Amino acid sequence: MRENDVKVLRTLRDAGGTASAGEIAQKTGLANSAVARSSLTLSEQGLVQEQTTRTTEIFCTEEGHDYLANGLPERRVATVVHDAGGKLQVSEAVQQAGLPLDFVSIVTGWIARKGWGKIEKTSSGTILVVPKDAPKDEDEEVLERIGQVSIPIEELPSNLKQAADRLLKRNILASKQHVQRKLQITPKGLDAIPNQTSIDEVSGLTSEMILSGDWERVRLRAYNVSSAVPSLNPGKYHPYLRFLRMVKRKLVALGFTEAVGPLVETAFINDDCLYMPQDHPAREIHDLYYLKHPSKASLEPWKDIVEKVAQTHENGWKTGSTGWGYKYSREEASKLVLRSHGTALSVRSMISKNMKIPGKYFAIARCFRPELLDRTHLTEFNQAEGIVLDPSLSLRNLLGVLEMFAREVAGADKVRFKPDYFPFTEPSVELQAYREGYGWMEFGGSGIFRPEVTEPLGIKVPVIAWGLGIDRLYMMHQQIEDIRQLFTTDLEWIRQQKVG
Amino acid sequence: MESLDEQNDSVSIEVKDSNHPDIWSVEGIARALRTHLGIAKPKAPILSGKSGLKVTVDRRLGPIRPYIATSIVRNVKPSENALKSWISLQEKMDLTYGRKRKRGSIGFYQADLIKSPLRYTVGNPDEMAFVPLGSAEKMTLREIVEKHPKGIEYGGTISSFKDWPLLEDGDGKILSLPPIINSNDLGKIGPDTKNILVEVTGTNVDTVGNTLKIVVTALAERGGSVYSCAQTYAGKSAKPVVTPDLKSSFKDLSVSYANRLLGAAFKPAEMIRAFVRAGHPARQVNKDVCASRASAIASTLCIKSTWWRISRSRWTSTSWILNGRESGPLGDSHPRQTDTRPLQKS
Repeated sequence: MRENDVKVLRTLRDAGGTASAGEIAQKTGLANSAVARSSLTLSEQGLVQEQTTRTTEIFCTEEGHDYLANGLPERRVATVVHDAGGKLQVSEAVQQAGLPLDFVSIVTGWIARKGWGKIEKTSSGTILVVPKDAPKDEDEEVLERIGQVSIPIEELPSNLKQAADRLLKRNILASKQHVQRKLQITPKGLDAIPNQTSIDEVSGLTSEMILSGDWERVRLRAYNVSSAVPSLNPGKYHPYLRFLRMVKRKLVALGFTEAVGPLVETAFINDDCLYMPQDHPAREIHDLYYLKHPSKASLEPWKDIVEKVAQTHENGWKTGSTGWGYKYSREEASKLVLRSHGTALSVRSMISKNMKIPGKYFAIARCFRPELLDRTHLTEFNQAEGIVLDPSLSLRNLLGVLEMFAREVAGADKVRFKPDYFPFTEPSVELQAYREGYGWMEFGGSGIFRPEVTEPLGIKVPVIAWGLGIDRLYMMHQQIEDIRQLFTTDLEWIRQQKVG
Repeated sequence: MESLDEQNDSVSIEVKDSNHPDIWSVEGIARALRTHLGIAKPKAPILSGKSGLKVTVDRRLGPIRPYIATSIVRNVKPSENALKSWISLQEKMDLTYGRKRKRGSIGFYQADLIKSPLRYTVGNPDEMAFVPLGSAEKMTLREIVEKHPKGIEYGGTISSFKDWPLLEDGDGKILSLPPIINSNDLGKIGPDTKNILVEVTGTNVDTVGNTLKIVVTALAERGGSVYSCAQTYAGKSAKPVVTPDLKSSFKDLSVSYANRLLGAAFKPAEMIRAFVRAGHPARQVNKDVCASRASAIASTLCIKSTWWRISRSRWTSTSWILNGRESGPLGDSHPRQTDTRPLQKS
């Protein structure tokens, strides 16, 4: 028998037969993992048994702490009434007890149920009658007994257990399940404890053993390679953040420049520069977050292009288009919104003085829309946005880019393109991709910017543009079904995600 | 296609092309399928003649709701299904293309009960009253906006004005309070209605005109004949505006430009076939015969945008090629046809 096993058995015997792994580790001075290994070996040999006990720990909620200090609401009100001579208007009593008025029905209910008093309806209103000062009841006793700590509900006598259940239902107490594993030594285990520690079996050779020649005498302990090892949880980045960085690095390596821009944009940059008519349904309050304070920003930084954009919306300006045929409003353009699509960042790139042709720009853009939350929609999401400006570009190049994203970034097996429509691109394409075992998914829109978008900004070459739901690309990559999983704070899930 | 319900013999179709209100109805989808499947060439419904109905437009509507377009469709006798389809087209058009009835809203009336000339005018909300659709009692305009479900929903389009829009016929009978609700007497159509007056009012002249075209085209698809009406805008010009406006528009497209943008090598004839399937008759021109712009480039197509084929952003010709192509760069995965050059290291 190994030395550690003997230590564990002896500790159990000395502790009266039962102890938790933690207690054993403390008493033997062994590491937790060593105790765990030992107990596995010992239970396999039938020398110890594992006992699992579940307890429900109860403790005060924030509300409970308040009542602990100031008394239960029914007690406070009953005391007020009693002190006032035994009769008082209900609302008056509740107010004097320092409680909000919505406590009236709760408090009268409990006072009646506990038999401390009763309600009388009179012409002057509802009167609460509390004839005598009631002694401390079980609810209060439980509350005091718990105080600032938490105790297992199982340790309470049955009358107090009922009181605790009542307080749990009233959210005055909260509970937490607690699982404790204990080891119990078996009769066989007691017999197996040797009188002296054997030195015949060792876990490894030391230089002393070799020098002394003991190495010839000792027996090397067999390793149990199937036993569980303790899991290590070293610090690491959230898997989704790592994925975004990986995409970023890939694009930078391909010669893309990262676009920068604020989360709060003017409607001018977010929509108008993209030839979205100002009364477009997607610009309504239910599709866009408008800021209240401040609600507007100056268009001064873009004064050179505002007029051209305005005319393009109204009559097409010099683009050859007919425009949308309405009166453009600079007021509407100056409204502030939360960036609703990554394309706003491409506009930022195109109006920048540093913009180059040919050029390639990208952004991993955080965007905001008032969506109904479900397994594929969030109000806050990320888009992989990109544009390429080059005189020789065509739709085929755009399809190549989209396919690369689907295959390389999401691990898709099949890709298909659907003709689509956006006010700012012509032609427009929707990317859909399929992964074995996951199914088809839509990844968002793309296209070649319309002349109504590029020409007012002074750009005369084709610009291919895409704004893909990178959250969804990652979902397919990781075979995740629900987008909300990406932003989870579930540490267990995050720990289980592979690095790389 | 979203789903197929064989039991009820119905299909549910998701219309991705939000740019084309002309396919937002059963009639429109059937028309698009006919040309796409090659069952029929694109054919515009024709105007059968003048209806004789005249409409005068009050200048006081200027800041409120200035535009109106009307037409009479005769010999329709709609089935229950046809009525259902038109009502759903009306709702969809009012909501999106009409921007919740602000830019444009549609009304149907029994043409035989209405006497020319119509007066599109304004009325005092507390003095004028009529029986609104779906109600039994007479209500003032203000009562309608405050109490009638449609008034509560759409009253915001007019409630800030002192006077509200009103449509009356030659006998002074009220047809409707645009864009809220029709009269229960004249504005209720059913399976027995043979001749239908279609009216569209709104704040955007293009929206109003296009909406009328889409609606009368849907009615004509069910066998109705379309007749025009004349609107006279007081103070503007003496010349009446005749609606629906059935003029098609033309645009020339350079084949090489389209091929360059698409990264394709369509021959002019292939491109023409694609346009036809997408519902746009096209022909090859070699000289400056195209209406919109003189062009001397040999491989130029003249594309006709028929008056009923309305796209919200007017000319989206490369999309039409993609939508009408038999096979091409879109569709299922064609890895050899895509080009990842922009992603190559530079």
